[in-house]
Formats: sequence, structure tokens, C-alpha cells
Amino acid sequence: MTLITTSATDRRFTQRQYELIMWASLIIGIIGYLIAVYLEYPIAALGIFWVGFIAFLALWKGSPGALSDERDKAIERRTGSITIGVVAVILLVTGLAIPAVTDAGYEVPDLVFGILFGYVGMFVVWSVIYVAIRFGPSSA
Amino acid sequence: MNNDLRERRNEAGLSQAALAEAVGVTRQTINAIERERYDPSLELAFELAAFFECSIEDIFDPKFSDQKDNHNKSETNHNR
Repeated sequence: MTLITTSATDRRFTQRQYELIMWASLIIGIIGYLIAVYLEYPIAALGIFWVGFIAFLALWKGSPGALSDERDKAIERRTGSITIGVVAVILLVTGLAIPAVTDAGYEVPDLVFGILFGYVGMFVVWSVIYVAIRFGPSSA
Repeated sequence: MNNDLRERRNEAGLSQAALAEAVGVTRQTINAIERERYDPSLELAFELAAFFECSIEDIFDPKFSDQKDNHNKSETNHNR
């Protein structure tokens, strides 16, 4: 068996600290952004957000312990797959129903069209990335 | 997937965090493998096998027996 020389207890504590600071940075960035926008300091708001976000990324990628690993990636893949499926169903059901609803005399709000076009745009981006990954040099 | 990772880890006197650190994953992943809620990648399975100086099959049991039973049943039906 391979010999372990570091203190696991210390490492676990450090990992938790890193995780805490990492998420706190992001949350503070978002809350700071909202407060600064509310106080009508839009440029400062952008700065606060990006500082928080960059701190989040720096801690995520730069911390010595593993804060995310293959299981996290597997969870993200599954979540993404389920999300795209749910969006597809919403797009299909709503999109197909619009002509019938309009024909029945109901005026579909612009907001619904905006959401549907957003979903279509998302599928276009998804398709482009899928093709790039499938047929690109770093094919999965 | 069935595995005896918890037994091996306990025999070695290691915490989940220590094993996780040794093979480069999070403690939660080791916990998920031990509870058979996550099947590790081939790379991680090799890492774990190398760490415990054994083969992957010594740690993980992919339930081949069930698959063989199903395969045998389908062959029997095919021959009929």
C-alpha cells in the first residue's frame, strides 16, 4: 500500500475552508453587485462582481486539494442532459401549441416568444458545441 | 458497483479524506464509491488499485455473474 505522509485531518479542514471561501466570494460578488446597482453605482457593481467571480475561479483552480473531481463532472453532465431534455419538452409543447392557441383567438404574450427564442438559441449553441466536440480534434 | 473499498481503507487505518487525497479526488467521491452510489472512472479505479497494490477486480465486483446468467438465458432462447 502507498504510504501517506500528509495529515488528512488538516487537509480535510483546509479543503472545507477553501470551499467556504470560494462560494462566499461568489455570493458576496453577486450580492455586492445587486446592492451597488440598487445604489446606482453600475460601474462599481461590475467591478465588485468580477472581483468576486475571479476570486471564486482562483480558489477553485488554485487550491491545493481537490475541490471538484470526476464525480462532480459526472453530476454536471447528468444535470445538463436532464436540463436540455426538460427545455426540449417545453419548447416542443409550447411551440406546437402556439398556432392553435392563436387560432382560438388568444394573443400569445411577447414574453412567451422571447423565452422560446431564447430556448431555440440555446439549442443552436448546444448543437454547435456538440458537433465541435464530436468531430473536433479532442473528440469525446 | 459492489466493492470492498471501505474494508480495505479501514484495514489500512485511513480516513476517507486521506484516501481521497492520495488518489486525487474529494472525500465525497470516496464516500459515494463505498456506498455504491458512484462507479469510478477507469482511471480512478486504476489509481485505487495501484494504491492498494492489487488489481481492479480485487476491489470491484462488476456483477458479471448476473450478466452471464442473462447471456446464457438469451443463448438458450436463441438455440430454441
